Amino acid sequence: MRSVADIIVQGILLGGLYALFATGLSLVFGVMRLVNLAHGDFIVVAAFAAFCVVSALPVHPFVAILAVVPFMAGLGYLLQIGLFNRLLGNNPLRSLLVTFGVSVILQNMLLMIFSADTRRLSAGSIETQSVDVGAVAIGVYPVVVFAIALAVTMTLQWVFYSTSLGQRLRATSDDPEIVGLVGINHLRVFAIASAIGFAVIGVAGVLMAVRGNFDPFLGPSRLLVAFEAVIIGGLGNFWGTLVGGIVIGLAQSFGAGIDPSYQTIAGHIVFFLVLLLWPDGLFPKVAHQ
Amino acid sequence: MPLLQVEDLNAFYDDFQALFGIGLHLGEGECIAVIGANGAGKSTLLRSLVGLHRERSIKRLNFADMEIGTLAASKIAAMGMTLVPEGRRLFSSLTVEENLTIGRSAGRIGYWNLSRIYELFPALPELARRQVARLSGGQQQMVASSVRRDFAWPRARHRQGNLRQLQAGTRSGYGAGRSRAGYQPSSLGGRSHLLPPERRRCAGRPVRRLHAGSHRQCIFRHGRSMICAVSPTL
Repeated sequence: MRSVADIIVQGILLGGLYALFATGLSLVFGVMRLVNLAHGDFIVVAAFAAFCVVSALPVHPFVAILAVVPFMAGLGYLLQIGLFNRLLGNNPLRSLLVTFGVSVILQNMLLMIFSADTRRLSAGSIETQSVDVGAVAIGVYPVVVFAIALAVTMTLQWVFYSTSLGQRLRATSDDPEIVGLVGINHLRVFAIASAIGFAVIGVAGVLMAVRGNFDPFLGPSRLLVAFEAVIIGGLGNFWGTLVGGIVIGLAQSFGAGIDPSYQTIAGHIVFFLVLLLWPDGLFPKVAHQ
Repeated sequence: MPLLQVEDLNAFYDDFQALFGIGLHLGEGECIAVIGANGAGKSTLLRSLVGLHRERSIKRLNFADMEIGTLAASKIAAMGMTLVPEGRRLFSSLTVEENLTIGRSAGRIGYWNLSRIYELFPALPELARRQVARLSGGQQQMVASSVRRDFAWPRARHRQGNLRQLQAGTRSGYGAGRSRAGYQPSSLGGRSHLLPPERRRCAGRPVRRLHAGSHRQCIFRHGRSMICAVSPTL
């Protein structure tokens, strides 16, 4: 039986990874009101992209992030311009159907190219290193992941609230029509937002690939966790998304502490409870006028 | 050569056709009022001209000798023609100051700047960092009124000309804002002398009349040129 302190620490650190899964989704939904059902599959695409880099070059997976992030950002930009921008409008069914289709295509493409084998990236000794703090052994790798999640959240928060790009992103999110009248092209802003979201997906994908096994069909379960974290935190709020990820991580950690088979279901139950008690999430955005 | 030239403009909402073969010339310094009942298509006309309404066919749409029929609203706005939207239409998650400066970040430079607006509305500076969504209706109206001013007084970014379209509602007033809310320089007290006299002459009259008697209007202007949409029933 693990100690409660141990469970809490592991849960919080696991939440960092979940927050990274969720941040891209939160951003894309927040700015474009686009629900991307292929979000999880793009995380897996990023993992396989890192796998390709590490297979081709003798570099550490962390170095592969430098290649995967621009690749994913470019992919996000082009997909937004070429596909997702065409799905805008009043009918949310269109984007749901199309992104669901993209999800199926991605899974099968990955299956064709990489087969159904499970893979994992090896990051060397950092994976198993840990530091003893009192009675709790804290893994170095989960701490690194959590620190990256924190840094990503802080960076996005800064970009959104302290830069002129953020001003354009928020204005476009508020009213994509009216921004045209002040000379802002909403389609281009959407493409930039998508690129940022996919860059975060790139980071999340590589970190996931080091943390555990992955295969072409892992996407939907990542999507589910990401959705839950976003909704628990409140839509369109990066700090909220981080907290949402931590809540899921804690719930899973406690579930696993009771019985390893309860890990996943515990996360879903807590999500359900939060939805029941605070339907707008823990940190709802200010209501629109 | 007219500043704005429109030939055979048809606009649609799905199967419904709202505008039939509209033709229009707007010369330098000219003001046109478009009058019609609710639903007659005044707003559709102005929205079609600035590129916001895309369900349209148009034989010719020339602005300052450039064909702009295929351009996005943002491109047209950057060329100097825009529309002031009906209602407040503020960006609710932006702060007051961000709402006032977003036109500038997109390249708009006009007579109105923050200090001039703050002089006109002394209550605004203390709200500057507040999110618009957290303001009261009257405070939002004051911000909207300031944003309108920024729309209303452009300075030419292009040599060819700078045409502005305003579609504004002065639905409710905010204290001092109301008595001074207007686009015509004469309503801005001592500041009118800062504007060139020919602009004052032409901009002043029709706008003043619209403000006196109507709730909804669209004004389209190039310094001194504009198109206004008026609903006579109000």
